[in-house]
Amino acid sequence: MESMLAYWLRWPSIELFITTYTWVWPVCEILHFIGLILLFGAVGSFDMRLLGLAKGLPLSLLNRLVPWGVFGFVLCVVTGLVFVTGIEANVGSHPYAVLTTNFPLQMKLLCIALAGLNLLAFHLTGMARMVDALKAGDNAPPLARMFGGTSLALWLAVVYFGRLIPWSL
Amino acid sequence: MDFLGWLHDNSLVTWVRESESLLGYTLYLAGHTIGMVFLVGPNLLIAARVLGLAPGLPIKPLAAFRPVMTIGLWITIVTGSVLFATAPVGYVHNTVFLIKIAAIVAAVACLRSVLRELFVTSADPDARPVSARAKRLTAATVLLWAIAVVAGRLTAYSGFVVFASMTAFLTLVVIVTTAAYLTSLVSHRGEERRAALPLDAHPTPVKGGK
Repeated sequence: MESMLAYWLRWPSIELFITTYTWVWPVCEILHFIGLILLFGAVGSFDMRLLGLAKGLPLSLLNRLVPWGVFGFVLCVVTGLVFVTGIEANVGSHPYAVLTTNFPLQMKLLCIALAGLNLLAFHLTGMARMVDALKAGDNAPPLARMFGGTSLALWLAVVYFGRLIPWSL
Repeated sequence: MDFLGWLHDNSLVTWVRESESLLGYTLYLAGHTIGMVFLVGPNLLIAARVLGLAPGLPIKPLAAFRPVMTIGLWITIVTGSVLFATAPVGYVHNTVFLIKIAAIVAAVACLRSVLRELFVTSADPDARPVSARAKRLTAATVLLWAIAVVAGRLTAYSGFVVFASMTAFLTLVVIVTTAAYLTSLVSHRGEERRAALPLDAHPTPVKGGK
């Protein structure tokens, strides 16, 4: 199991891409940051509205901007996979070793998974549908506020731990 | 000793630079990014409304994001100043860093001007369409933030890598923009053609067919 995971995590083609073209790593970093900003612009604003900020904004209209946040997240996932699968070309450590020893990376992945579960719960509890029907000026129900606050805190934790990863390599 | 040398060797700055503590360098590094997302994130939401990507979104309540952006800006300024102090001589001689600072100053000036027009000088910003001036300034703000983010990332690199990365990123932007433009052009043509068709040319669904 260990050796299979180690085999799947290391992508020599990505490593070759990174070593051949010096711009690959910095450009992926730039796209990772742009994705992060898009995610916060759409999802972060939605969470802050759930928490009671800018109550004049109908949540259904903010919800329509969430695909931009999803696009940002996809940008982050794709570029993040380049970092992990090609990391040996940059710092000389095997991705499996990095995944099993880098505490900030483990915490970041855990927070992303929790943010996903939080989103799932937001939908399964019917809160997503309920807040979509809220009009301008309405308060979100306490449970929806909790989901919004949790989402915001988890994404901030993702940014925090993400910035710490290179310092633990 | 000159000011930059004094700043670099200051005992507090030396501690930030060399400490392994969670309150050391990495806190300011992470804080800098967190400040950025609180500043640029809501700015993009306002830009989406002003530039027509989120029609129907009322403008007036967006004013609630002003303090969020102000706090984000101050977090980036404070953490950025600390990060600058850890290697001041290197930064002042780094052209990419100077471009980043210039882009941020210009972006904040444009943003302030837009916010003033939307929320200060206008009693009801939703009563009339957003002015062409505000649209131009908003587009400039988004472009300047993009320059600041790109230059900010590239500050960590030097020489040919900066040039190669900038060329690669600009190529990517040109490809994506052209593709988006062509897609909108094709879908627009399709709509025009459908609209030009006479009414009876639209196929009528046949009921009870085989």
